[in-house]
This record gives sequence, C-alpha cells and structure tokens, in this order.
Amino acid sequence: MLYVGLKASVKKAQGSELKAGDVAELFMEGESTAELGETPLGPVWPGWRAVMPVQVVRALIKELPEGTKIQMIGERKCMVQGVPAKRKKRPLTWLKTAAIALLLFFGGGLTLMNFHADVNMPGVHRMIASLVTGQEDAGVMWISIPYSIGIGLGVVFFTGFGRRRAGPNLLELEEQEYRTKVDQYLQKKETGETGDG
Amino acid sequence: MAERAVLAVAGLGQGLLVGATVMLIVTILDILPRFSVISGAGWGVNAWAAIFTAGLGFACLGSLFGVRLGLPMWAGAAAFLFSGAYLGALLMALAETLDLFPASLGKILPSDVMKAILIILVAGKIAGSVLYWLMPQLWK
Repeated sequence: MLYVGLKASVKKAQGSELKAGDVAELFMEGESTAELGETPLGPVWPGWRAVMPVQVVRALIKELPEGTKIQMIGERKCMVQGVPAKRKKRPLTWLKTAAIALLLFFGGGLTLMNFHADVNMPGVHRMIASLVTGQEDAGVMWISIPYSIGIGLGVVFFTGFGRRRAGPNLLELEEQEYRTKVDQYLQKKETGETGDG
Repeated sequence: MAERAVLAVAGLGQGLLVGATVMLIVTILDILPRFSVISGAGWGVNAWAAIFTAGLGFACLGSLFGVRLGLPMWAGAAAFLFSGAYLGALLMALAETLDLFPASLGKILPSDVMKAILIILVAGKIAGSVLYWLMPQLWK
C-alpha cells in the first residue's frame, strides 16, 4: 500500500521538472519512497496550475510493482506555482526599493512632525519640565531626549525585534497575510476559479 | 538630580506610547507589510520598520531639538515629494480599511470603470492639495 499525501501548494522554478515528491508526501510500509519521489510529472509552467490526484497516480503506477494499492490522503489537489528562476536583482527593483525607503523615512518623519505640531509637543515638554523643576525653560532636554529614545524603544517593543524565536511579530503576520491574499487572488484569477476551493 | 530622573522617566514613557501607537497605525493600515512586499527586495518587514523608525528619529531632531540642516530648497522639495507620496498611501490605506470602496462595487462595475474612478480620486486629491496651498485666502 502506497500512501500519497497531496500538499496544498508548492512553489517551483518554472521550466524545471515537477516530481511526484514535490507535490506529495509518499509513504510505503517498510520501503523507501525516495526513488518514487523522483517520478517526473512534466515541466513546471509559469503561474499557477492545479495538479490533480489522477495525474500523480497515473505517473506513480508505472513505477510500482503490479498489485500495489494507492491510497490518496491529504489535499484534493495541489496548486503548483511556477516562479521565475532566481536571477540578479534588476535596477528597477533597486530603484523601487530606494524610493520606498525614502518614502517610509520621510513619511514617518512627516507623520511625527504633524503629530508634534498638532499637540504642541515642544510646549508640553516645556510645561512638564517647569512643572517638575519649578523653573521656566529648565531641563527640557531631560525630557526630550528620553522621549526620542522612547519612540525607538516603543517600536522595538511593538514589533519585538529581539523575540524572533518566540514566533512572528504582528508586522510579520500582517505581511504573511497580505502575501497569502495576493497568492489566493492570483490562483483564482489564473485558474479561472470563482469558488473558494 | 531626582527631578531629572522624573523628567527622564516621564519622557521615556511618553516616547514608548507614541512609538508603539505610530507602529500600530501603520500596521493596522497595512502600510509597512504592503510596501515590504511591493519593493521585492526580500528584506523582511522588520528592515522597513527600522527605516520608518529612523524617519521618526529624524523628525524628533527637527521638531524637538531644533536641528537645522541648511540644505538647498530642492532637497526639501525632494523630501516632501516622498512625504506626499506617503500621505497618499496613508489616505488610500485608510479608505481601504474603512471600506470606502465596498467589495460589492467591484462586482457591479467593470474593472476599467474602477480604474477610472481611482484615477479621478487621485486627480481630485492632487487638485484639492494644490488649491489648498495656492489659494490660502479661501480659508482665512
């Protein structure tokens, strides 16, 4: 009995050979399935393509001794995404990256400056300083400098830069969610599906 | 000395709150995650958060410590081109989060029409901004 556990989705370089081991986990009692995993299923196409169980079974059955039963477990189909083979980053990517870096840098700056102007932050700092020290215009730096450091620390606490091993932070989760949504959209668009399959 | 310690603690607390709040806003509005994916640099979203934070620090230098760089005007224009782009992205992200364009609209209208609506929206925003800056007598 050969168990074929179809995976939900895989990514592979387009043009390369899709193998049974790529789309499914294979398991056979007491035997190695390493060789079976090398069974070719055809080239990887660009974009999304569904691999149905029957395709996998048809390819595998030729490699198996006669009379072996095949049991399908796992997903109903496997979505294969043909991605362009890794190449050097193009100048356009660098340009885009630089533009986004500048946008976030100056955008973040603008946001904070707007906020400071809105709530009159320098005035508030002067007020707190005179409230604590009892003198006008004294020790404002003693509040403004920790405040600025605090902003950086607030970001660190929020995103948890140092806690990577404890799991993803909120930002990384949001990014992953966004990627998943884009992938799902492309999948549906390219396979012409409207359902949620 | 004790006064200074109180001030430092107060400042630090304030900063922590502001930093975390700003990050919460850009995370909820999907700004950092989206730009991280769009750039295609593969740096991971935390690197972008670091750049964003550097911008926050830069703003502190200017608006709290009165640092002046003395650069020519075109440098400011370039910086504000990016600031404006950020604001545009923020506005669109806000519109999306608030479901300004409900999903049902996309089913009723063809995608060409949706694109046209988007372009009209952008043109309207630019026109509004230009009008605001060029005709200050309107709101005095």
